[in-house]
Amino acid sequence: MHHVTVRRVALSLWGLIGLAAATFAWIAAREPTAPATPHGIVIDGQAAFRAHCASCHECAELAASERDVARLVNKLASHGATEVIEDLEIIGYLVAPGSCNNDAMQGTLPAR
Amino acid sequence: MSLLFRGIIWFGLYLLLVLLPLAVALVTGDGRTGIGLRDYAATALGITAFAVIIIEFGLVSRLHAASEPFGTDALMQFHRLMGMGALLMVALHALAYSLPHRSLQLLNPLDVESPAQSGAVALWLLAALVTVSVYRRRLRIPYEAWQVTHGAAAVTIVAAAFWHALQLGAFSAALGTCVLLTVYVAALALLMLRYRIIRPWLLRRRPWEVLDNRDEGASTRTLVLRPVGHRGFDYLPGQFAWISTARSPLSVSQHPLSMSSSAELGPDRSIEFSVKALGDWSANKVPALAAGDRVWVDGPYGAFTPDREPGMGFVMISGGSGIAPIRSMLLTLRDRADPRPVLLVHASNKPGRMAYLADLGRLQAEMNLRFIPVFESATAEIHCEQGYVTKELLARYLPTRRNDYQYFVCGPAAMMDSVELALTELGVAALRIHTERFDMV
Repeated sequence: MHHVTVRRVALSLWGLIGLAAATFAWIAAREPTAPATPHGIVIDGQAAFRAHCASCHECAELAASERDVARLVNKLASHGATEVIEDLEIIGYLVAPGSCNNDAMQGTLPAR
Repeated sequence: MSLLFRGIIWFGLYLLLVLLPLAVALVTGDGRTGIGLRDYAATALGITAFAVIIIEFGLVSRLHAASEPFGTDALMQFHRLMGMGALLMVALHALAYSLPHRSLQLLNPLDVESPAQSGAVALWLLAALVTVSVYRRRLRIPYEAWQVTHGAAAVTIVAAAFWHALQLGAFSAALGTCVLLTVYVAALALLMLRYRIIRPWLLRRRPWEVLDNRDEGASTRTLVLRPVGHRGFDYLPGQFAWISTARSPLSVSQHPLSMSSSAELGPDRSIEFSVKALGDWSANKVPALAAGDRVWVDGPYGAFTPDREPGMGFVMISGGSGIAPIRSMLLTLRDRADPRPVLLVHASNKPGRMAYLADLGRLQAEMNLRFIPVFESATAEIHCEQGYVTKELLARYLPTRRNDYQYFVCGPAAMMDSVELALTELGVAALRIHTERFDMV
């Protein structure tokens, strides 16, 4: 088969696959979300932080003192009862700029 | 079945298999937990890339069902392009998760503390696998070493990616998608079992022996192999087989070689293979093979054959060792006393580097063949064309009713790409051009 034809077919397939991935993301994001997976895992950084960390730690405290992601990973792995995916989301939330300010402004963090 | 219809069926099936895990993830909705559009897109890329990588195995596991619809050449090109695409998707998947969180440590495959370590291993191994496959010759990596490491790396990538998906993937950890991905991995394991263990094991009962090992000049040898204690196999002219000269057919080191003898087999059912000294195996091990030595032959494979393509005649264009399958086609047409006209344009850098030159010249008297040798450097000894196989050269020799003929092109990739374009520009329908690259990797 002509090599140009094969290339066109492959590019078309990648286009369709990319379109399918975008459609998946769009549908998944616009539908109501479940608060947790069937395994009870919270897949949202802020929600996971509130569920597992906020009762003992303030957002700013962790975000300011734990800039090193590796140390954060270690701490979360050895401390508390989070799943790995929750650890990742919490880390992502903590290192995102301004995340703690938003919480403070909204007054959503419980008192220590 | 027309090529278009065949394409719709096969590529539709391909898309179905690639997108099925995504559809199941969406329908069951188990992993939807409000992670945002970007992360959902990254998840979709990861799941889809995983399915593509699994199917890559199916494409190159010597399944006739995979290679026959469009030929091995198109299949290998497709395998290569989809592998590159999978790497792009995996890279986007990893970056989409890492960059917004400014945690590039997640991409470190050596970080044992990283929760995404297995994913990082899969990413970098896939990048290495694609790079080495594309630049193997420039990196001077022997084919045998590449063959072993390519297979091992691919299996490791699937294992690491599967573990990563189960460990971290919210969707893939959910029951529906998890079961489906496990089915994919199980299917892959069965394919590997058939390809690497069962089929070679069955070949143990079907040994072949070297009958002759002729030096044809131009760094080319003709290996004549005879089945021992069995009938060998029938094949179509232009097809190829995998040859192993190792002690056991279970050896990973196998070499794809075109049959170069007539498909009309003689009483001893021996088959000839033409081997050009291009690497360690072909330059050192093949010349050392002696009559009586045991070899293993797994075949036939491929769809590069005039037997599948009806036409008023044939135009065959080859370069270097691309003459092997063409020789098989010519000898078969001669043995069948096929009256249809054949135009052969065969290129090499100089007469001394063209194998079977005298044989091809003689064949013109035995069948309806016109042979045009093309050499880069001029020679006064024989009638030939000088230079490369260009559009202008082809225009001088192609038949007037071009689309009544079938075109077979075999040689180095660069030559084939230019010849394919030239033929198309000269008005030959793409569906009538059939190709086989012998140095795809």
